[in-house]
Amino acid sequence: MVAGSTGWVLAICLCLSFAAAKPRHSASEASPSDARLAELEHLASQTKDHVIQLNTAAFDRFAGGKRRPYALVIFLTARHLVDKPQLQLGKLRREFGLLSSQAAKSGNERDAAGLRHFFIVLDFHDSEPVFHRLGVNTLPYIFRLPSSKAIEAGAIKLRPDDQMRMEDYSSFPWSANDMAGFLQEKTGISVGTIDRPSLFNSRLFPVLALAFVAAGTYVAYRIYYLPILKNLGLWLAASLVVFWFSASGGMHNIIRGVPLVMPDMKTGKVQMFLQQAQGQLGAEGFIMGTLYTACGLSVAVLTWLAPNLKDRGIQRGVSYLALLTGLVSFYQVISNYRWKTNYRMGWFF
Amino acid sequence: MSSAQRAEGQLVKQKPVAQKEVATISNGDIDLPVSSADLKSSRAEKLNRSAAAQIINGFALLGICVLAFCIRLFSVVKYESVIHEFDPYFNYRVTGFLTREGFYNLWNWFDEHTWYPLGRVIGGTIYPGLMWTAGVLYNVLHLLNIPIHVQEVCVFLAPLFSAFCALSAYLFVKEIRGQGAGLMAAAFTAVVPSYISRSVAGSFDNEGVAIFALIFVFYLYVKTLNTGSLAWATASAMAYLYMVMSWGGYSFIINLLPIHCLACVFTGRLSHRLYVAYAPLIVMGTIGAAMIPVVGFNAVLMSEHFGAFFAFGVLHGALFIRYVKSVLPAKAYQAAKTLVLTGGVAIIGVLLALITGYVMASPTFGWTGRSLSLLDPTYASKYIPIIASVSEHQPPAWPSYFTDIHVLVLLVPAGLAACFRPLSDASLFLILYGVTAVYFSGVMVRLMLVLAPAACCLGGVAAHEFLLALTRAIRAPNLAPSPVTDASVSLLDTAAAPSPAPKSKGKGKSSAAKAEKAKGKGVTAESMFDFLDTSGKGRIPRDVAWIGLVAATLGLIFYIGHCVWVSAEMYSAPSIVLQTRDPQGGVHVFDDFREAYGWLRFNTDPNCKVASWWDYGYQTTAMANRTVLVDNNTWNNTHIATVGRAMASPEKKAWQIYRDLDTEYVLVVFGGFIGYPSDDINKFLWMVRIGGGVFPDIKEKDYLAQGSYRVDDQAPPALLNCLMYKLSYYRFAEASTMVTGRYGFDRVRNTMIGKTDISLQYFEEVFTSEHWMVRIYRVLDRPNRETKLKNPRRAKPPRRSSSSSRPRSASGAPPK
Amino acid sequence: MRGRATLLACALWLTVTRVQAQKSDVLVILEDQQLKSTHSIFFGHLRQLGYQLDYRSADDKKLQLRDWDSWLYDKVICFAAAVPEFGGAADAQALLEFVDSGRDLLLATDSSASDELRELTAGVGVDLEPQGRAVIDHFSYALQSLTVDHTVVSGQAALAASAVLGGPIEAPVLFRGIGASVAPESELVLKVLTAGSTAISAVPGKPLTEAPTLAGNETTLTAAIQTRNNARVTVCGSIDLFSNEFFRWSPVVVTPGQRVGQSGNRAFATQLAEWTLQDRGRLRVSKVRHVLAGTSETPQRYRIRDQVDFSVDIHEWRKGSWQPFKADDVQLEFVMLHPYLRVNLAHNNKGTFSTRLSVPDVYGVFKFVLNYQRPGYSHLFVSEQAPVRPFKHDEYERFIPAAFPYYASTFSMMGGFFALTLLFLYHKRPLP
Repeated sequence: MVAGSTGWVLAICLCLSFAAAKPRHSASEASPSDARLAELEHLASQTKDHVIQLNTAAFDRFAGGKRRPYALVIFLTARHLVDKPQLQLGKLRREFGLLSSQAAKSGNERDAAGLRHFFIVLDFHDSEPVFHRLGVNTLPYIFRLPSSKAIEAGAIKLRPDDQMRMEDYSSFPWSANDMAGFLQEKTGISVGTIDRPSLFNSRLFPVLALAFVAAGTYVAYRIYYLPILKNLGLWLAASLVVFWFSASGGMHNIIRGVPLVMPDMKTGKVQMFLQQAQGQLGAEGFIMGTLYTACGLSVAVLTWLAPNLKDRGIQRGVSYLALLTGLVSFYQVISNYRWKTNYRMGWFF
Repeated sequence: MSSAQRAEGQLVKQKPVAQKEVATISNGDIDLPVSSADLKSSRAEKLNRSAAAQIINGFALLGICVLAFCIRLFSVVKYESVIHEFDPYFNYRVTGFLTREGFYNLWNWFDEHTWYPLGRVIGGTIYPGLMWTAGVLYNVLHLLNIPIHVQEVCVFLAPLFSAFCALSAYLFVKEIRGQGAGLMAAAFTAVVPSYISRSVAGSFDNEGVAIFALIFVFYLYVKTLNTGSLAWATASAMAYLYMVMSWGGYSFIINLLPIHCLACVFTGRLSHRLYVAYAPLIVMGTIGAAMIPVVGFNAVLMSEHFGAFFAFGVLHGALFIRYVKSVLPAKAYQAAKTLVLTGGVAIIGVLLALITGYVMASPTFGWTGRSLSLLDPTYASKYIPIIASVSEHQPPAWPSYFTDIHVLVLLVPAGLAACFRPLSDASLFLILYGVTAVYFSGVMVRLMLVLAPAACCLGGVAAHEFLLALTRAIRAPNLAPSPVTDASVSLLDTAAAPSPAPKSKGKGKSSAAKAEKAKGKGVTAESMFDFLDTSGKGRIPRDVAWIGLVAATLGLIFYIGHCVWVSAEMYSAPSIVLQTRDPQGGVHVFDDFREAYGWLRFNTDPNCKVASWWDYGYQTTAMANRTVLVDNNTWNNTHIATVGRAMASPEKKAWQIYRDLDTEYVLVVFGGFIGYPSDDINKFLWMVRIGGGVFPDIKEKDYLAQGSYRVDDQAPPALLNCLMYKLSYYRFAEASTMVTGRYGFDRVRNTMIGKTDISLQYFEEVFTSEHWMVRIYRVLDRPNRETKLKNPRRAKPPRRSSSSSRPRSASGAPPK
Repeated sequence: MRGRATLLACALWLTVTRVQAQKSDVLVILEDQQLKSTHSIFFGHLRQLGYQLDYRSADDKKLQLRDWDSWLYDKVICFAAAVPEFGGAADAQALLEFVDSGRDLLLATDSSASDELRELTAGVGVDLEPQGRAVIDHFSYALQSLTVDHTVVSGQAALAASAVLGGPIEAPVLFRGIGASVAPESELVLKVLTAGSTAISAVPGKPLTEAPTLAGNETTLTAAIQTRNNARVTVCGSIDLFSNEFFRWSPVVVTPGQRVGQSGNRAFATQLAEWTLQDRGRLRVSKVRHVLAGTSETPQRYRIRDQVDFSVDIHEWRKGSWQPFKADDVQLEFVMLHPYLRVNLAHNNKGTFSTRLSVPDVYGVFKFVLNYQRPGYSHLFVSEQAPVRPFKHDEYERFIPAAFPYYASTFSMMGGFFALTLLFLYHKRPLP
């Protein structure tokens, strides 16, 4: 990524220099478009993942004009929103980069008409006016700019099926495969299977594996003789953690991918407990798991710890504390359970 | 074996305490005088050995068994003695076949009534344990001239075995913590809701016997672990064989035992008893498992079993090391150790490479999809829609824990703690069982069933010790040490954990060294808590004890009440007969399923083929005795996808697909008339997904409107024109005005349906049940005459359209 | 449970009814009673064939085809054109149901065919031209015809229909009436008589303003339909084709310059009638049986790689009796989802078609399928379900030579274990 970012910086500098060199709307004048093509290719080759970052001026320069001898696939992002969890712009940007580099690798960046497609990133900060002209007010926003689309000053109207719409893709954030599907659907370009950089298909994987095994065994051998492992309390704690995690539906949270808390629609404050009988929120589950565990531990304390305390005062205090904890958590569990499922248990007599 | 005797002797000491409590628990309430009286009685040493205690103990167990049997009869009382939902009908059918045709014919049964036209080799693809058990029971009863129908045997088998399960839970925990805890665990097991949900009378499913087998295997394993006798080892191997032939869940055992074995080896608990307990079980168990047709060579080829062999090797390696250590002088041993360690790394690396190579060779890495979805929880939802579509494979949220094991979920942590002091081989096993089970239960709600016995055993131990501590505190004079306390404390320390003294006889100084090590570990464990006095003479304050006792009593009573209520209200519905209560308290029964299957049975050609979604395959073959295309044994994804594709296609295409499969009738389940939620319209998206997984012309997004699934006028045309929609809502609009005064109002989806004028051209309605829950259509023949073909030279269309434009059935009978 | 012979096209059922309803009543619906005399030769021929004809006029109020559920006639001959609607209970719908019940209909009409008749013909897939139009051929028409508007044309009997006509008919078949068109993808309709390439369908005497919708060989003069349940319907656009006048028409001189001694109408009409009334080209299938090769018993289900003998009897109705059918193109398929085997059936000249096939190495629910469809003959369709099971546990080969090493290893292992046990038990080694 570091190298990549430096690449963008380079690209940005280049764009800026071009922008400085030429007045705006130079495209409408007689500038040989293949020159622009060549420049774009040059820019693309500059960056690591063949994604070109443009600013307003560069956008007007490359996208302006009646028609272009190339088409653009444009990804709109905004620096200040990258760390918004529900947008996940960073991930999308990486996937976009994967797509373009894969397209470059597979070598077919040209559609049936032989039009070269370039992958562009516009950042809100560098090119705010473009956002306004596109009328974009929601991110993420990925669209294709066909070569025949004429871009003049003023608003830019895009055909709705030239952009990726949320409802067409079941999973969000879109993976590179989704984007490739979009690309193929619109242009017929098939970039082949996206190969993500991973350890497994690297050449020295066996070596690494062997080294890992060796190191692992050595570490295991060392750990095996650590005195701390002889401490049963540790193991008890570990097993209790497993219990706590499972009993609080942690797996449910992972599989369903439920958020920890949810902002309430009506009242702005965060909502910890899900109002319906099915499912749960992350925090909700963990609270309940903690209650379960607390109740159980208080029983354990009353059974083993408290009786064997030497100091009577401490013993009494601990006992009362444990008893109180147990009762409170038990009551909480019962009441929450009734609230959640609204089962009303009957006694049949 | 003196160790075992000593353990027994100490067990006997605290027998009266717990068993009476449990006996009273099983009657639903605990009253203090009884238990305290027992404590007094338990103070007298001689009475403990008396026969009275044993007799009371026996009666308590008897009461527990009766309770376990009776609490599962609600379904019979509220409804009738009928087989429950889906899979049990297949098991019932197979059992009937077994009792009619005999053992070998079942083994070689090729069933041409399912999966038409592929057929299914039943004998080789089922876990026959359940059917064999029922068949044996049936034959025995008939041998005794008790002429009982096979259905009754099937209905009442599960309750019977849940009683056995309670017994084996008692034995299991007795091996670990003595009789008191055992009785407690048995009482918990008898009524634990999660287990009730799978073993009510009428749910004739593998789990009914498998859970018993599971606990029984564990009991025998622990028994062998404590006694170290080959006889018990053989018995456990046999029990394991029974488990294998009963349930696919045997892979849980075959993975749990190695974990325990390794844990013992690496915590210096290696002993000849462990070897006797583990090695024969693996060898004989694997050989036996390979003899069950459905398992066959998987017993050595599937990755689920590799862990066992690995632990097997490690066990022998450890024993070999010990032997070498015993023969070599210390210095040479050190040298050898370094040598072996360096060499061993390389060997392990090579081995791992080999295994990975083998495993990578298979697409699913040698794991069955279901086990993969355990290891990687998100696997199924991503790759296997047919597994993810089953409701019992969903991950549970926190309420289901409290619903299914209630107070036990609060006692499990205490139980874990209890098993840690003192830590014996047996209690270590219980800990591992509990931890793994609780993890797996987090992945699939179905595996809550495996967790339940573990929770019962842990909870039993915890509750037992808790009550013991409380009552001891209550009745003890302040700070006055009393003999019974020593007794019970010493019991706590060494119960069911035979001290390593005798085995050091057997195996020279090596095991003695191990024993040293174990003791040393114990010391380090204790030494951290030096603010404790380990004499065990301590008491908690008496008032606390009183409050705690009352609270515990109330909690246990609450548990019983909850279990009874859950069993009566939630888990006793046989999903083929439905009940609703109107505000006046009157009961209304919906018996549409049996009505429809009866219609099929008596009004259609015995040889005809019926198409429905796979959920209803087993019931159709068992109750209607007709051939089906797909059923709940989802062994052929493509075939299911074909049916799903037909349901999701427009009428003409679906008609073609069904004609190619010789289908004569199509059965759909529809709930919109009376508000039965789990109908085919609600399952429809799964048909689309499964169908689209094989046939790319079915795309899920064509059936969604802006990503949401709706049947009203916003619904996309693909949905409005697909066969399932038409068959479900055909003639519905008029009828719906009769129930809800509104035209075309669906009571499940709570919307007006999008298309009210539905006409069928290639199907004709032949049956609709009383509450419209089941609708059966006939697939029409090709038209007898050619009418309305496209003719470019036709001068002008005939003024009066020939009314016989729809296909006619061969008999030429005009459709109703 | 496994029905012996499922004949979906129910040829067998037909034959059964035929045999006891042999030569039964034929309802002849005439537009006016004149036709009885003008077409006497044709009807006389039918009477020679042994049919008893029951003449009714089309507007007869008491005209009815069925009495509740029982049909009163087995065949209907209808010479009608301008009748707005039939009298009594016999309307187009009733006639179509009559056909759907597997009975036969010979329909001849005219340029003035009414909507009732159009609906009737449309019901069997033949679309008559609009009212008033006639088939006109200004290039090849019959000379010395009474009319001058060239509406007496000569049609060629289609070669494909020789099975219907019992052989090719060279002599021109004179035709005066309305043409019809047939859907291109029609499977059941067989064009028996088509107009010459210069014919058009137009209103006689009126000048043509635009190109005719129907012309040339596409103009169907007579169509023979065999429905899927083997009922036979014939639609002829001309009543005169059956008339004595056209039968006797001789010598026929057709421009240009073609001169034939005798018109082919008589042969054509009588042959056509015989076919329509099921006196020719009628097949029946019986005695479908498949047994394990060599034995005579049909197992409930076959085993993979079994040898199976399949045989079926096929007879043809000829000269008033069932004769053995002789053909070399009868095929049998062994189907599960798709055909695994497709073999020709060999026949001994006694009408028994048989073959021996070996079940493929796939188990499942198979079907023997015999689907014989030839123009002019009844459709034969036989489908027999025959499940195929895998080997039983004890049917596999025992003691394969390739497995001897494994046997050896097993027994050596046993021996070794035994020896080891002895050694272990009786050889004490003092502990170090």
